[in-house]
Amino acid sequence: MSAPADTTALRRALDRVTYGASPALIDEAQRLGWADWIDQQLAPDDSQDAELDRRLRSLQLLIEYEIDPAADGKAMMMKGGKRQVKEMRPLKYLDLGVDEVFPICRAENLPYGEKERPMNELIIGTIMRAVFSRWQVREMVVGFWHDHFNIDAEKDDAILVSIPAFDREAIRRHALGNFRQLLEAVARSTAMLYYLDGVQSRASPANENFARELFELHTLGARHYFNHLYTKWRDVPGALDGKPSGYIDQDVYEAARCFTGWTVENGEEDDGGVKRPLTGRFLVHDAWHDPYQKRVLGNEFDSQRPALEDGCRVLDLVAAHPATARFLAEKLCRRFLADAPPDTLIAKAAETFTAQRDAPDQIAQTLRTIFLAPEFLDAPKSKLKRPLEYLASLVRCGGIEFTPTMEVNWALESMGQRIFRWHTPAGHPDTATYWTGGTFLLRRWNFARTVAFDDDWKKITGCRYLSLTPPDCRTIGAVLDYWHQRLTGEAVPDAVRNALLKTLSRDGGADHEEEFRGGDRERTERLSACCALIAASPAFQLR
Amino acid sequence: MMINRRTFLRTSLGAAPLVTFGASRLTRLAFAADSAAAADRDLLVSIFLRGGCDGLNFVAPVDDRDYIAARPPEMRVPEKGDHAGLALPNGFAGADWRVHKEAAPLHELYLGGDLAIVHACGLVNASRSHFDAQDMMERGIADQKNLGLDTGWLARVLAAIPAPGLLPGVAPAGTLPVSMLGTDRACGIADLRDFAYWGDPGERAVLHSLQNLASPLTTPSQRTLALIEAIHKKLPHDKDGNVPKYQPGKGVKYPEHDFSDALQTVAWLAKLDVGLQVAAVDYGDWDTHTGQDYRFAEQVRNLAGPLAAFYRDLSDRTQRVTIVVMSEFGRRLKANESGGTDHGHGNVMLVLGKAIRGGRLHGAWPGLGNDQLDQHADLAITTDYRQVLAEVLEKRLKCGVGQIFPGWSAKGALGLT
Repeated sequence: MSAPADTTALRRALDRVTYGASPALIDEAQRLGWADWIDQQLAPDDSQDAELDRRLRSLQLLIEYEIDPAADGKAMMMKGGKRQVKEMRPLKYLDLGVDEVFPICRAENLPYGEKERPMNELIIGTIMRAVFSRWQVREMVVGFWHDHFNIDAEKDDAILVSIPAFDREAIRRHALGNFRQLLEAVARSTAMLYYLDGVQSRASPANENFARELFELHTLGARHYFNHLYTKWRDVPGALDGKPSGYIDQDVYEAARCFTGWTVENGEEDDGGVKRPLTGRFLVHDAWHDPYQKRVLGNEFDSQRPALEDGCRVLDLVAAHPATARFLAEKLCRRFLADAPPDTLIAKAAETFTAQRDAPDQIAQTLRTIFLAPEFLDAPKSKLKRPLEYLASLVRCGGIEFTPTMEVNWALESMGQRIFRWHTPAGHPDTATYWTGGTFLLRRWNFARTVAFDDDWKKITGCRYLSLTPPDCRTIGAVLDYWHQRLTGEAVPDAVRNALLKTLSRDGGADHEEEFRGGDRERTERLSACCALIAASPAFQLR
Repeated sequence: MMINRRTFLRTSLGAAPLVTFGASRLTRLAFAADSAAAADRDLLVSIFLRGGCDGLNFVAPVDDRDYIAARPPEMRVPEKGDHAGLALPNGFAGADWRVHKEAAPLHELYLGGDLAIVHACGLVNASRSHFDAQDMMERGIADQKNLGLDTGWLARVLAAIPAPGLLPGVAPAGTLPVSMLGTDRACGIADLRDFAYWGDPGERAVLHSLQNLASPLTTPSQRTLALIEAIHKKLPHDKDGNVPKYQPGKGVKYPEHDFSDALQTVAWLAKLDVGLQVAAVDYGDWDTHTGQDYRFAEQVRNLAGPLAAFYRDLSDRTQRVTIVVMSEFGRRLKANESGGTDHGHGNVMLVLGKAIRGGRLHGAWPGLGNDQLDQHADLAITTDYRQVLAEVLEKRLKCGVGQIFPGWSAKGALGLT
């Protein structure tokens, strides 16, 4: 166990585990001390998040779409041409149960704009929580799991409406809890059953989509996929003792059979004309289950066992496999610390994950191991913020007034982050090369200006750089030092000091002692340009 | 959805000032004879169909008994009926070879002799993982133990050929794919009209100094900044300083689709004389575990139309274009019980170009009998995907392949060129 060496290290650590170390957050962590602050964050109390609750309750989000009577086949019923729906509505889907929303996706004639509303509300809710939740560490961890168990909500209308329930009941409920429970909640969720086609998987042949990604992406990881080495299960080292070191396609096939019959009450008609209820809830349909004996990871499954038992046994096996501990430890370290995290840190995290396998807070304990390790606290900044981290940290550290619209989501997408809309099941790449290959990087630099200058954004991001500048910062040097420190947690690098001073100077000079003067509007303009450039600099882009 | 995103780009762009820059190292290079250097080598366009395109639903022996037995009609290229496949002369012996009906624009290019089809082709590795298989193919390898190889095959091509131009490689996307990993000669450009920094010259100068600070971002930042400046000098501007929309060649009309947009970015850059040699274009969503009958037809339609338009758009340039199309694997011969197919093995590759020996199927057909299948389940591979790429590289890009595909050597030749 270790603690940050000084205030700079504390600030850096905070930026690593949160959506940005606001001045208030830094105070709080200094007061409690790193370890206690981490412990508090890892056991969040939802009744203690008043500001977020208030803002979520009062937020109005635009819904806008066109009804074309001709296209909807309602031409006879409606007079006139196209009708525009454009209104502000409060968020209503974040807390609804799946059974309350599922019928929406099957409602004929309901415009797409209404069907995608639950997803859009969740996107905005996610952005709001990143910026305003007191439980910052959990928000970061929730973001991690959403990539780990990636779902593209646009794949199917059923996912558009059930993604809030997935976020709430699978991801958030278990984000800091026990991995085996998280895994089952995901596997049984309406959203994942639709995304990886489990909903349609029946004997025989089974649909292999979910089973394959379960091994490759959710648990053991591709490094333990040994299909190029072995074609028979018994050849995999350890398999004859029921402890194979990795998996091959035969395990995928067999696991896929185990999950046949895990489906959804989606109102569809089964063989024999029996109609399922339209609740969107998890359904075990034993008639679709492949009943014969199976063998997964060297473990025998008897024939004629119920579908639920077969599937859960697979989850037991993969959740407990040593490769899973290693894979998750590495991914967590990569997300929170660096693209290439040190092996020693990964090993410590995997050890905790394994030792706490049955603990209800297995994931929180694993994170605690990482966050309190010297490898974590002493490492220099190197991890590139994701677009949402970039946006939220700019708002939080810069004291910006923030009222999100869907425009914010399109801005994040333009920088490469598609919240709940990433197509492939691997989720967003987690190394800098993805975010820096050209246009995405350029748009980051432009985004900092958008926040400060774009007229369309004035209602979304209200910058108050001038009014937040302490009155005793009278020279351009003092103003620069204040904002660079506040945004990045670091002093201005010598090599760029003059360049940044010029942006604040009235006549393009670089004299530290020059008085920061001019009318409010003029000073706001210069200060905004300066802060936009600091935000585009490596000191702010990296954490 | 898309409308909203575009609105964001457009409104933000409205404020974009004209870009004027001093010469950097890269921009000075730009004035070298870009087009001259490029002209004696084809422009190579590598298209990756992500998700595992079902080659057996694309180009197939429609009267093969094993084929017919393994799948319901809606997941086959049928012999007759409304969806009957289009006949392919010069197929493999002993069967009636056809291509999916929605590939009509490509069928035309096949009949004209420009399009070659290689079947039973792919990654000779047993992986049925999308991400592993894509990763290996994009790195130009066939073995997990080489996954440490930290450059993509196109990046190595860009290192091996003379590429003095401003922008030898491009991916028409926000970022670069793995195949272009590890080169500073390529950049991801999603939209040329939006490839500009909005700050004024003073801010731009500061941005330059900030990105010169040593950090993990230095290299990509400097490259991107230099390119923005140089490319904008090449682009046309209207009287308000805005970049007008791209105008395709005479009589060429791209169908409305994201894939068309990507190809038009490549076509535009090719015509701008920036020394373009290699482009990598992605087209996703081929993972048809369910709903294959309607999904696959749409995928093929949106591949064929844009690709044929792109080919025509670039047809009268001095620098020829050669296009290769590949996917990480084919799909299982036998359909699953949920209206789709699962991950398989062998697949088709397409090669399109004036100098390509098209109008025929290349490679060797292993058959679809149980004993002829890979692991008794999937189309076997008789041609390594690198054989196809190597023939194109050697003949059309005058590029030796020893360094491009380390540890691999050709076994015979297909005679593609």
